Amino acid sequence: MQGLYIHIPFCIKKCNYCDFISFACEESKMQSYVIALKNEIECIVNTAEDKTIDTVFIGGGTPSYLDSSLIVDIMDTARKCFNIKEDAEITLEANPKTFTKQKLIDYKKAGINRLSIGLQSANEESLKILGRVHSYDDFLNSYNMAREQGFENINIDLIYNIPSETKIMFKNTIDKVIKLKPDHISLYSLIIEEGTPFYDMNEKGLLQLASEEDEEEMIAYAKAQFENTQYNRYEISNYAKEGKKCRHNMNYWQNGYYFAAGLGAHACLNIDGNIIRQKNDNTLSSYIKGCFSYKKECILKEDSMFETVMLGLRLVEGLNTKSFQKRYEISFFDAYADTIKKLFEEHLLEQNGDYVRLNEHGLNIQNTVLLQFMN
Amino acid sequence: MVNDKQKYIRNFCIIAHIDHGKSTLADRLIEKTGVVAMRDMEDQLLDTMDLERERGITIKSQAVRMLYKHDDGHEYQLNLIDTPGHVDFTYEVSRSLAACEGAVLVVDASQGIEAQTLANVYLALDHNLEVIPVINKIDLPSARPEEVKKEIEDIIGLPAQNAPLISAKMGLGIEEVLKAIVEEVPPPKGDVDAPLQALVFDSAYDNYKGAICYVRVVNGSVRAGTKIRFMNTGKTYEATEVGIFIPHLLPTKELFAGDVGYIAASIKNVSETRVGDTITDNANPAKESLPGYKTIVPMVFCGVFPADGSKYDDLRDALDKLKLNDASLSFEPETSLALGFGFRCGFLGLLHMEIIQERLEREFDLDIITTAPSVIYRIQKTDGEMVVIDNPSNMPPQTVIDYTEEPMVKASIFTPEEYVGPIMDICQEKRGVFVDMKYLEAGRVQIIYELPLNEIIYDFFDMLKSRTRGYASFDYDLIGYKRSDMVKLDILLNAQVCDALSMLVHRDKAYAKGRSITEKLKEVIPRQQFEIPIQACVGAKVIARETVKALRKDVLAKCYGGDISRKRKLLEKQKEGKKRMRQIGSVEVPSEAFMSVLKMD
Repeated sequence: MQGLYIHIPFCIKKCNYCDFISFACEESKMQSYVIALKNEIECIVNTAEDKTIDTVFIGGGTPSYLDSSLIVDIMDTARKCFNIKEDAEITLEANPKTFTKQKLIDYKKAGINRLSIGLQSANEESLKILGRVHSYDDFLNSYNMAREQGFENINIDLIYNIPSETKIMFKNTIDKVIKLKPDHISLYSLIIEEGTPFYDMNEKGLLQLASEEDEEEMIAYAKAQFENTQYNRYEISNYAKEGKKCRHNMNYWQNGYYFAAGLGAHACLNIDGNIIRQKNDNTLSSYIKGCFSYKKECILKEDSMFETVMLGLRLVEGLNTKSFQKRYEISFFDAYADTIKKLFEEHLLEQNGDYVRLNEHGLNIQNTVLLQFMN
Repeated sequence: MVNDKQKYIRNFCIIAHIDHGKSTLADRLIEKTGVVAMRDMEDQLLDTMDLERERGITIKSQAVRMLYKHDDGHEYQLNLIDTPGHVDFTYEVSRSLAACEGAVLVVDASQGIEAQTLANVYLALDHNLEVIPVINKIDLPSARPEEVKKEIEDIIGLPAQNAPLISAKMGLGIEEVLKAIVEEVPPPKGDVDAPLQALVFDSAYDNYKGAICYVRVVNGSVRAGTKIRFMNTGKTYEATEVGIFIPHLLPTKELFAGDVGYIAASIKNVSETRVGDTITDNANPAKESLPGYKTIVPMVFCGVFPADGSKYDDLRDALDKLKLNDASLSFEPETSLALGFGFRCGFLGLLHMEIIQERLEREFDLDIITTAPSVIYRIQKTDGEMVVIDNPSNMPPQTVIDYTEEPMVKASIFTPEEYVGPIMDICQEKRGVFVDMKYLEAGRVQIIYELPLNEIIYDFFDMLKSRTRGYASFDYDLIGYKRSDMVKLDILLNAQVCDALSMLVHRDKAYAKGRSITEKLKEVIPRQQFEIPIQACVGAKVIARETVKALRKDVLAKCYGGDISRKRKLLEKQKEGKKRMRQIGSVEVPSEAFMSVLKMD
């Protein structure tokens, strides 16, 4: 299984919590960026031993902010270079208000079959605090339009623990979203990242964040509602209807390989049996001139084993011990015997057939658990 | 003829309050007399440690011989002995002063006389030194030389009308100072033919020559080959080299009465060369040693532990090395349940303690954890026995204690009068007893308080500085022991005593201290998989309690393709931090926890 990630670093406006590589007010560079991007796709394919692609994810930034002809262009190039499977999952990140009916028609033509729409909250105040450029109605219009155009696999991104948001407001968001029957819901706890406006505001004590108890109540409510409506939690922050898990992301959590193109994009490549993680440079001006430079890191076997654990234990189904043994030629149970024993005793870890998984509490304190897998 | 030579020797030191320009004046004198070529000249030439230069303080004594041609046509040998200025080193200072006949008193033209100035002047007068006042920093716009002159006359009682007005920084008036030294400091009056008596005023360790004694030859002479004897310790050695400071070591044939120089004698350890001891000729010994010798006793103690338990040997080696050059540092192995193996160290005072801690970290690259500083308490037990303790762990149970005594100091504080109120508040808070208050010139006040030493070793000086915007200065003398109701405050983590956090406090302060420590610990102890009660206890009685709640959420919300490397590295870093934590029972405690409880009141 191999993925291809494509990064589009343009937004109408940066949100207050966002630390992704993305720029506002650089619309004039979109054209030349896409030219460079297509160049890069043509370059990276040369390093590929296996050109088969199972999933494509066009993320950002706001890919839907680009002219849709550019998206068609990018996909044409990707298809020309790689062998993108017939049944590939091809996701595009889209923000409310940034796409039109025509754009959706073009996306379909480009083969895009999954949309991930950033809603974050159904409350106007919260949207303002987050620095979003759309209202809930804008979102509704966009969402319905996508459904009308026949998109049958739509994710909605939500955030909980938004500053100043009450429990009632949050529950309102959950109720509204469930009624829309999206195929997939991502519900993230707000992370206050360094270098964002939220970080500075928080340092100054200007963010009113929910108490731990309230936060727990909110997430408990969301989980219960999701379960009642057949959204199954399959990863720490992800819920999907039957058969609608995000395959592209599953590949990350199974520690698979993926290509990447675009500013600051990360790839994980299999080069002559070595695992190479590489990150693109993130200077827009040199990227559009066609200067691609990569920071590469060769992942040692032991570190790769840990990464597999770190990612696999994010999944509700857990880590597949059979694949682990096949990949590393050592049993998972032998590699971490003492830790596993301790975690079983502490009732954080459990075994289910070929899988080893964290229970609910274990998932909540995953970092603490992971530290025990390090020596 | 040789006795005649003494006529042209002047031995002097410079005394001043911190920042009044002592080291800068020394630099200028050295420059002016040309001992050190301009190209080798550095600021604070005599302060050789980085720490001394950074903090602008002198920790170790240094000496330098300068040659100065006076108007009278003669060339004079001026020996400058640079002394530490801080109260922690009073004894060392007193020995350096005993090696001189005169002292240059530097007073800042805008700040006037400060607590340390006065303490050092009295010390100099006690040693019958000729004190030459010099008013420095006259180039500053805020300089008020006339008022300062008057202050010197009124407060110290020294004639100051002719005091040289100088600016060491700008090099103004330096010649005048040199002239005054020659004219006013009396020459040494030793007897070259008498048996050798040389006063050790400091020592330093040299990798090749062993411990080197810094000496002032009072009577007689010494040369390489002389069999020398330390009169107080009784140890004998053969002098391998004698010489003078220019300011590095320059071997000479012989040192005579009146000279300041050094003696090397393949001595293994500086602790064998006690400051204040008298060196004599073993074959022709002096009848008695020079007066004033004391064995130095540490006043402040604390536990020093490696943050990483496996670095115990490194810590021991580092302390051994520091001790080579610092006879006043004492240490012995200590074992703590919480911190493992470490050392109980004794220091002359707080500054000395800070300096040693900082040198361990900087010069030896060690991460250390120190426990709360303690003084020496006397415990009278009900069975009539009196025990002396410097470590809370050795406190006998409350039931067998009749009464306790703690050391007291007499503190002298100089301040502009508007800060009298805040200063008195601090002293009251610190269990001080008011003794006296004097109004000095120009709106300045001297306040005298009796304070427990235990109260001033934490943050007294910091509080004083912050509440007087740095204007107050402070000095203290030990004045003996006083009965006082001391109790042992224990800290329990998850019901287990953490010995490294125990301390002796006055009963009246136990409650407040217990509360502030538990609150502080609650902040610094990370949440763990279970709830951790933190309790402060006196005896069996819990006087304060806080709880570190169990960890409920510790997970990264997002982990996609671009997050994997970063996430793994973050966890690796966390793991590294965890290695530095101490296990107290089932509780993991970061080393910062031990430090943070020291920094408060």
